[in-house]
Amino acid sequence: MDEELRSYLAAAVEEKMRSGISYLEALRAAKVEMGSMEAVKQEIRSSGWESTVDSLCSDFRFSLRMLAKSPGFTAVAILSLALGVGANTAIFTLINDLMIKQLPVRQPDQLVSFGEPSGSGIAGTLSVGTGGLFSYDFFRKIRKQQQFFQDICASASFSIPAGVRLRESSAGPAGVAFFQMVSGNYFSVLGIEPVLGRPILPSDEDTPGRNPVAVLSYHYWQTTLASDPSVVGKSITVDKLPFTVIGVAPRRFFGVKVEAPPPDLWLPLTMQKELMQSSSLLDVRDMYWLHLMGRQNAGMHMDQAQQWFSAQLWRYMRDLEGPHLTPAHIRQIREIKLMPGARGGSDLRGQYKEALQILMGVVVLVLLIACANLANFLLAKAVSREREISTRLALGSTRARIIGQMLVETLLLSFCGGALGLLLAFWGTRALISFVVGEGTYTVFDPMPDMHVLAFTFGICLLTGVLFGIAPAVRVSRTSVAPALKANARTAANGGARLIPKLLVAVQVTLSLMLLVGAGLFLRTLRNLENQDLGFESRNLLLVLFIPEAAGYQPAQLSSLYDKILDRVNALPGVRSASLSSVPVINGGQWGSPISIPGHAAKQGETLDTEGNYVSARYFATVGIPVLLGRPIGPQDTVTSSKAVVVNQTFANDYFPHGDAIGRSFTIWDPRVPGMWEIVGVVRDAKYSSPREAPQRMIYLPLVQVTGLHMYAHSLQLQTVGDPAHVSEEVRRALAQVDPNLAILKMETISQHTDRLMDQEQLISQLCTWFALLALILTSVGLYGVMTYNIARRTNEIGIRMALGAQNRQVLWMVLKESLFLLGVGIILGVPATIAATRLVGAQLFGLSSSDPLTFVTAILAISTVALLAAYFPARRATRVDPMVALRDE
Amino acid sequence: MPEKSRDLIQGTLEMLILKTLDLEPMHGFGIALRIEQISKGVFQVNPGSLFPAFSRLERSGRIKAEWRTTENNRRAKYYILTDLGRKALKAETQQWGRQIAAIARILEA
Repeated sequence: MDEELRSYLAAAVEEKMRSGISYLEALRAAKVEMGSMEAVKQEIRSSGWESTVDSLCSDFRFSLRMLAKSPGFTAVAILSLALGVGANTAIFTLINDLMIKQLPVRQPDQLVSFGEPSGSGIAGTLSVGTGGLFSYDFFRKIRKQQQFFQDICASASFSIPAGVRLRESSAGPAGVAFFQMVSGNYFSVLGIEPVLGRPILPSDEDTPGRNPVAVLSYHYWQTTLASDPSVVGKSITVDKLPFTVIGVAPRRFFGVKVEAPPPDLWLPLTMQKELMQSSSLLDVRDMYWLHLMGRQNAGMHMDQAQQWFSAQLWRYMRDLEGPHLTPAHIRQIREIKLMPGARGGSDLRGQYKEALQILMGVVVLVLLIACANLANFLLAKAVSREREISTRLALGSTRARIIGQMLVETLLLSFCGGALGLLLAFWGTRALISFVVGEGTYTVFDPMPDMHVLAFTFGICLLTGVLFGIAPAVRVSRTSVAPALKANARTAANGGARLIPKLLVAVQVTLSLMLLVGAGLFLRTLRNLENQDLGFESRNLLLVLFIPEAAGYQPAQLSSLYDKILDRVNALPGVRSASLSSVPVINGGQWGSPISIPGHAAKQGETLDTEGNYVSARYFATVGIPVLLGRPIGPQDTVTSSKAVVVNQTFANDYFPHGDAIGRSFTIWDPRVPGMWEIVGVVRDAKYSSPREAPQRMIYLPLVQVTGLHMYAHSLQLQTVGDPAHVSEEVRRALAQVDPNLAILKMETISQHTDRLMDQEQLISQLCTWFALLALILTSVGLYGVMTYNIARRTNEIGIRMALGAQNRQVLWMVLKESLFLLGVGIILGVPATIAATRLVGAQLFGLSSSDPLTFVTAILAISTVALLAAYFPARRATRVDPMVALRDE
Repeated sequence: MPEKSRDLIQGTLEMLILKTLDLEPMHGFGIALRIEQISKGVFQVNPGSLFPAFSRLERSGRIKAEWRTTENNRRAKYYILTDLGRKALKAETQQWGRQIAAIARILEA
């Protein structure tokens, strides 16, 4: 190109000379006409697309060098961003896993779930479809419908723990595995091909009790059977029942419900009676325990299908109840809707939905604070490069290129921060998941970010970089050339450059205040919950969760087993008293049933019902629930004695308001506890499922007087003399002495047990606190940076003032004034904003209002202290300025 | 003092270059001179616009370049019109003609 231009010049000169001018003049004229060679060359170069890529590359290299020149700034910026982005990604991964991800099945968008599959268990009241639970009878009826669905499958809404043994190793305790019963077409509807063997087929569902086949989950096959390739055809026993392994499910498949723990085995529905060792649920029309899922036909219209479904429900209810359905029933039917089944069901989802939403809001605030820091730093840096930029502009660079280079620098920062953030997020997500699910349990949650999460993170980085990089870049590129090139700029920078950082710091103060108040509110909620009186012994109680079914105990053998256990543990020195119950004293899931009391008619639209627990003798003494009237369940309640029941205060007040509960009797609707039960005692209320619950009705039946599956006690309680953890080893040994095959699922103290009930609150309050601290740190770093920077730019001014006689104190005050002003603005804006924001989470709080004054005042004090400290040090440095040095400084 | 050269629209300059090369291959200065001469001084092209235009035309394959020796025994880069360029020239000339006619009609209406 040079050569070409030179020859052009030469030709032009010759041409001019031909008209008679001298060489020199011709040369000058030609050069004037051509303009600057460099500019021409640049013009030519920049017209190609290769030049854009070329300039991007050189921008990139330049940015790297610039960032490396100020390692402190770069490190802080990247770290702030990493923390902000990492926190966001971690929470989002969990949200993705729990709420957004689709089931790992074929074409999940075609799946339709009947009702919301949130229930888990066996429901026996008149509410078919509530919680997505249906009866086997109903399933068979609608399955014949082919118009809307290719096929409909059913699966049990709960997994049952059982003792599983491989035929060869019949010695030692059985391993505990969770199994789920499914219909024959389950795997075909979901489109699941096993990696080994065959799936459960419709032929396995033809005759009850005749198809003992099992499909293993991939994880179970990997861990318990060491991925044995010849596992197909092997025999196993499930609760001493023989089953044959017919296949292994694919790796990521876990069923249609996101729950913890996921099932290890899938067994045919028709084996239900044998597996649950109770009456058959298959013939009964009004026991609802199955989730139904269908695959759409192509071109199916949801409304028509919904109409058909509601009609089916209506007809079913009429068959059960007679031709007149109450308005309550009709409303119920209308509420059961067909829903997209792509994400399956989950009880965890409902539990953690609000917590995760709140946390998402929190981490967004943290990210904003981090970005404000980034913006401030970038602005400061950009302003300090004014001279360099003016030179470039003078040399002919376009504004676009300067903005481009600064954007590249910002994007480089934000993507580095993002990459680091991803790493942090991975580690953080793992911690979060183990918190949500419980230590050491295998889970379907995947801490590895998938495409959604990566796209999310990428988007955040891009947005942050562009948003916060473009403003400083544009502002600075507007620098006019002359003033900046002047050597001595003695005045403070113009107002514009000073306004944005101040604004950002004030915003940071506001956001930090929000986070601090939030953390404070949640921490106090947690403490309020922990200090709640739950109504029973809260310290010296040891709970043991065990599975007698796993050791193969039949209902007839249970009574003597219980006696042996209680005798053995009562003999231990550290144990004051022991008892058994079907569920632990405070437990998430309860057994409940409607009842009917002779002489007590139900009010309009009301059903008489209650929660219940089956207990052994000395239960109330062991768990520390005082008896108010009558007597507790005791040794006098045997199989042959009259059926006795103990009720709680709320029950007695609700149904026997005249205080005459003792001696009255009632029947329980659940067919497994038939007969008239006579009230023999009234005990004090307690909390039965969560510290937050309102008073509930509760009845206690003697274990020995119930039948079938209900006879299995799963919880052993021991009141101890001292710290319950101390006796755990002895208890374990004692139980092993009774029967070494008894599978102990869990042993924990009552405090550990109740702590777990406040998982959500613990999660939120812990994370909020950490994030609030993080926000404080980021804000103080930001304030410190902005103050330092402002002082540096005002060094001249400070020097002049000091030379003119200003005292240290006055300079200090002059500088601090600014910070105080920012702090004040931030707080004034922050208080109403926080009040509005905390109102949104009011439902999560316990024992205090969302505008609790104490929390607010503490938060304001905290942020003021931190901000003042952050501003003090730069201010002090300002007073140390030597006027002579300052005046000479440029 | 010659009149200030009018600013040529980008596309027009390229068309003029193609037309100039239609007659015979030429080097950069020669093209500039020819355009100035034929337009009787109305259009004075400076190298700042000329060379980028050459670069664009070369990239789109309408001209190709060759180093040759000039009459004065200097080395110069000569540009030659390609077939593609010839076709493009014809199309653009027609387009330009239509535009001129339309403007004329509007002005006379």
